[in-house]
Amino acid sequence: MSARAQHAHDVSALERALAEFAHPVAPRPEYVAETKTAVLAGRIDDHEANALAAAFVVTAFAAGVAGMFVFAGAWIIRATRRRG
Amino acid sequence: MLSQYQASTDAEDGESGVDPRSDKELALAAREDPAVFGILYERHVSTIYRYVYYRVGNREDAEDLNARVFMRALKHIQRFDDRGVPFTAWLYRIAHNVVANFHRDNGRHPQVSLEDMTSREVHHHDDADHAIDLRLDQRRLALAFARLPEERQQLIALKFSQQLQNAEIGVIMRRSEGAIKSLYHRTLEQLRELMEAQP
Repeated sequence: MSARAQHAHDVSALERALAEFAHPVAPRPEYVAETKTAVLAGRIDDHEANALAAAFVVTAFAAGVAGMFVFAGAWIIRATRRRG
Repeated sequence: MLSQYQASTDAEDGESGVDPRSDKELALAAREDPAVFGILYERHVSTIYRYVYYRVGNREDAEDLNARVFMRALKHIQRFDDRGVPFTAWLYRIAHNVVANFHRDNGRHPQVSLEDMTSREVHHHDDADHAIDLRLDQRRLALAFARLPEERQQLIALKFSQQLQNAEIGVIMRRSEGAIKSLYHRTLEQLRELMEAQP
């Protein structure tokens, strides 16, 4: 078998394996019903909001630290000039 | 090719037999009345669940993340507009983001349910040796799949668990059909290499 034919054979075998790998699954009927009710009632805990809040906290903290550095830098420069 | 995508969506609409409205009409109606979103949920819950399951590999996480996908879709339904992007594609994008966030937040790699795969193969093949070979191959494939980059996993999931065409996948992944075709071949090549690298 040529290298080209071997490669085509490998790809074909891999695609067959991937098709078997993707066996059909279905959600449990009781899960479907319960989740529908929970979604429409807004009772699902979606971490998206938490991620946004975390991003805000991190940004605020970084801004605070940067502000402290600016203040300290200004204070040092000022003190140095006074001595000079 | 996109007309085929639309056709499959329309077919699903018809099969439901409950509401004749298209996904777009329902999504627009859901902006005013969130209860209408329930129809969209019932129409797409199995498809999105299957996609999420393929990406995370176990029922527990798939159920949790699937619920988050629909919660987020409902929350952002005001942002949905149908400018060339079908509702299903919009939903897949949300699902992809939810799964990606899940893997990032948990600091773990995507995993596959090896136990589930093993039991499945035994049921399908009577010949014991053949079943063992298949289990080994499936196990190697599962491990290789878990090591693929996020976008390549997404592509494989959309192609095999959802059986979408390259053009349809392109809409979801914001790439051209040609780019998807090229990415697909590179992904198969990487999968083959990863499988060969295993002991």
